[in-house]
Amino acid sequence: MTVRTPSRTRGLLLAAPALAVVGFAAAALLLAARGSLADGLGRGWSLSAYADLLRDPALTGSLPLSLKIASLSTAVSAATALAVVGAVSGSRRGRAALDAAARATLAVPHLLAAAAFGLLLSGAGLLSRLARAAGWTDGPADFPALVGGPGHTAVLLTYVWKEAPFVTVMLLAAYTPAVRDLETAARTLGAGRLSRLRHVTLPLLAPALTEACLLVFAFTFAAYEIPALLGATAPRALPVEAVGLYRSVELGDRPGALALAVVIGLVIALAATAAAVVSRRLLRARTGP
Amino acid sequence: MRRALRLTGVALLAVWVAAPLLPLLVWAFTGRWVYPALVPQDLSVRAWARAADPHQQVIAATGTSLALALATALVATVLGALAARGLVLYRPPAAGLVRLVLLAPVLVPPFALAVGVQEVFVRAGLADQPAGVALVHLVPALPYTVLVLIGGYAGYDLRMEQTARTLGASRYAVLRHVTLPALAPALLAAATLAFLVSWSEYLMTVLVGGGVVTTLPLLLFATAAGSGNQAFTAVLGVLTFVPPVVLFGTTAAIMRRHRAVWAEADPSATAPGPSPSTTPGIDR
Repeated sequence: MTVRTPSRTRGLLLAAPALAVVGFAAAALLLAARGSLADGLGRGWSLSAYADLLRDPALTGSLPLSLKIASLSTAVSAATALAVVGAVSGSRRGRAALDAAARATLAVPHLLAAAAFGLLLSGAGLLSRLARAAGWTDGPADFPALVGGPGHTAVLLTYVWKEAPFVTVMLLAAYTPAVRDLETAARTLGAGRLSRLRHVTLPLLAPALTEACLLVFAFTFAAYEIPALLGATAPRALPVEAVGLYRSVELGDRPGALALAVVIGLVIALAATAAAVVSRRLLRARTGP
Repeated sequence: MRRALRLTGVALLAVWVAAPLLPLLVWAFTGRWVYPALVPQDLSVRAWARAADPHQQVIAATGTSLALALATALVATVLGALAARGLVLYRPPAAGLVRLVLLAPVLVPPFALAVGVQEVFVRAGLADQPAGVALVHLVPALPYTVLVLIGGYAGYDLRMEQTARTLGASRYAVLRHVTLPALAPALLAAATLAFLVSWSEYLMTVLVGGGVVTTLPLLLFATAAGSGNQAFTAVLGVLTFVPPVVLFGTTAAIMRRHRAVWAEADPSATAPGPSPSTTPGIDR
């Protein structure tokens, strides 16, 4: 059944309320960007907020730190998810169990995960007690500073705990019966487990993997709760630094905080562009020019 | 050999899920658990009693969280359903672009959105109000409902509605007996996701609510960051964790039953439907 023009515009009309919400968000972002380009009193046009960011050593440490946290979390989560999905790919029941376990962790709010990992990994936490019981440490001071330490280990562990299941769910969703049929065909033709993974499974899951990686990167780069609770005090992750600046009582800090919001947004926009380029390449590689 | 491998796999998965959550559960019922003891010195429900004390605002915050999450779930699902219906059934001009625009908010950084919205609200006099917070929760929730319901409408046949209308059914009867039942699993999955997004939201609530709107995550963050009271942190954690688990469990059970009913009537009706496995990003 083909639908004629009047009802085609009706389709847009139905989408209008949802589009209005996105329009509201876009307007808010534009206003934030405008505010970052004002002088210290919030008036006129000025680049001084950005110039100040470049001079502040605390802030110049935050951007590389957040990039490191986001790319490491993304890479480790993706590798873990791929390994696990590859390991159970042969068995239907394995996939079902994996799906259930991944879903269970997806329902856990990030803030709760941070609080729970704090109880687990802090100096007086359960892991530290186990280490002492095993005779590896003499007290909380001996235990490596996973929480609040310069390596941001607890932050990374919490992110991997939350995001690896997320990537897993995305990969399992892309693992359609069609992919399984192609794997079976490759096996019938004599392909081994590894070469099936490399030449059949991975290429077919690559679009979903790219999408999942972008979402994980964007989220871990911009999220506040986990680095705020489990990260070191200096340097702090970019969103933590931004919130601190935004809440500062000095009115002159406001454009700086808004400028940080713009920086966070720009990095994510770059990541999204990169992911779009990769997706297009993947599509072309599969369908031919 | 194969069996042993499978058991190891299941055990590893269980450890992965339980490692951070099980200690939290123990902490919630702990009176004293001083380093380096491996098990609590004594168990108690003192932290729960504290949570029940109205001065701690826990009950009020739970109510606020529930109200916000339910409102977000309802509005985001309705808006998502309308948009998905328009995009899938009527194929408007630039449908691909509209879809992209509607999904884009998953990538928006919460800090940038919150400070921008605060700029808007200060001008509009909406700052520090529950309605403003609800509006902000809607932004990250909407992409999920749109995505899930586009999946739901993909297997939907508009001719069913037209047939019912031809046979004399009113618009309301069509909605009640044709549209809603056919879309029930997608609507449920979408509402669950939207509920979770709002239920887990912390940063935007803090910044836009201006300290006037107190939700459960705000209490949890404040306690985890400042108090050193692990038992109380754990109680708030359990309170934060239970509703999503109950919700997920119920949704999964309802969907299983629904699928069984529909599978008998028409096997094709469920095949392209939005099984929960097509719903990414429960946590954003």
